[in-house]
Amino acid sequence: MCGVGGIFFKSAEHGAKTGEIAYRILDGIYRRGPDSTGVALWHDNADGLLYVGVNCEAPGGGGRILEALDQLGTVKQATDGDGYIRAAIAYGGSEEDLVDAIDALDPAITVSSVGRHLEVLKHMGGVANLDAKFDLKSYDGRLAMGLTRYATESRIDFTNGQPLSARAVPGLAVMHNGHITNYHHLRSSYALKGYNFSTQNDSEVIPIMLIDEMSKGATFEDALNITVDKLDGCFTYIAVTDDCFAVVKDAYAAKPTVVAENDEFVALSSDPQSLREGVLSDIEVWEPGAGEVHVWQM
Amino acid sequence: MANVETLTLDCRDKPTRDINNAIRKAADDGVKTVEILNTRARHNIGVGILKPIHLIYRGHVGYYTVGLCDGVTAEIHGSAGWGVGDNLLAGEVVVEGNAATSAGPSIRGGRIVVKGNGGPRCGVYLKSGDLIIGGDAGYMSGFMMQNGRLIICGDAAKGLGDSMYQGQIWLGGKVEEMGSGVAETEPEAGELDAVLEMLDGYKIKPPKAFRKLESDRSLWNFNKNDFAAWKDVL
Repeated sequence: MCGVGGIFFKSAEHGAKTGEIAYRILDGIYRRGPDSTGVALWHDNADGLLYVGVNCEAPGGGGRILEALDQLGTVKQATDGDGYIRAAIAYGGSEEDLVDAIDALDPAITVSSVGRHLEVLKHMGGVANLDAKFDLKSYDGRLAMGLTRYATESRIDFTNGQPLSARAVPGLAVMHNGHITNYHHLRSSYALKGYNFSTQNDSEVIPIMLIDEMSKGATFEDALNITVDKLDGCFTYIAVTDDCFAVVKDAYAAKPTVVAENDEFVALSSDPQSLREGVLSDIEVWEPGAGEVHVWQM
Repeated sequence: MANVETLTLDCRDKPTRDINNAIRKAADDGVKTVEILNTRARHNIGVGILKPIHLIYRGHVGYYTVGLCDGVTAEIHGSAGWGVGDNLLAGEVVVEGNAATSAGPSIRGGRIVVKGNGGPRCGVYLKSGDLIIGGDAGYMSGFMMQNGRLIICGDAAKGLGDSMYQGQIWLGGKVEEMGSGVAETEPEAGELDAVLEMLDGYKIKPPKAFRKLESDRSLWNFNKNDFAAWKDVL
């Protein structure tokens, strides 16, 4: 089933705890996805750091990862979340080199995301675990979008949890509720083109399709529209980049999402109740229609 | 609780099962009206009520509101989530706001009125009764409907009435793309007046004109010469 949702503030001076709102929205859709919870956070990043998230299925591997990151660059902040490592590092090299180096440490260690503005955090179970490890509630930036996962196609672990990115590509995170039925076909065609996949999750094909289409010259919005045609199955997904975010619905409108927007914020959720509990208001919501793509600029 | 005309029920901090049991008990006790507060878009509020009672929802409601009910009348002062009035046997549900996906699915009687817009699949598997959408209706509205009337005052998205067996769709606005097996037919005497009268009863402004749509019965029996149409449907 899975649930997706989160909040975006139109102004940097919004005076609200974005993380607390995202917490309530994700808690409200916990029953749609009790296996794991993840969020993508947007940071202003005045210091020019690189945000790195690493899946670590090897118990106690966090130390090795942080040591390796500190050799590649300088670790400024880091949290070993016991299964998922979060770090912000001063690093001027290529993202691909960094991901190759970390992925080479151990087969059970894979980089989940790298970003200059986007940071991905994941943990098992509900949002309470995520908050206990990474203090989600203290986040007061402009955007926090997440997913509660009900695993269907791949293992319940950190690696296959969402949000998902295209390997070593910064500035894109996707949260997908649904099932891509032509996934195997798409995956093999992208693999032949040279794309590397980091997970066994069918949703990973979405960020890769977006990156592939944009590399061929499509705008982000065009690429989102292309996914509506090329992906088979049912989906509602949220895609976040460094400067915008979008919600995309399949041609059958099989998965729910509601949106609420006012002068201050845009809030999304799979469930109207969770959205309203999130923003603590009986706000009007609307539901994107079949095959629709909605993009908001940051 | 006999002689109580109106019972006020605050949903805050109450489990859904307790709320539904309280409504059921009120119906058993002959209470005429239950006013439901703090609905906060919660799901399954007012489900499985099989005796006549009038429900007033003060606020937005979640999924399956007035689902599996018989003889219940309800007014929802807000918008409704998926499947409002699911499988209604008899009664009436009036939604003042919008309704999400599958408004009035499989209803076997009674009437569901959405004054705002409806999401995808309004009146899916409609088996009898009326579903009125005051605004626009989403993708595949009236899909596989089997009887009853689906009245859409605004526009309809793709796949309107796809694979419908019987029943009538009354469309006031434009349709993005008609579903398979649907044809426009000539209204019989008095039919349009009955529709307009019904809208007037809910103070819904009727469109300038209505088109009546029905199944063209082309999908009733398989014909291999029409394979393209079948492939399109499936």
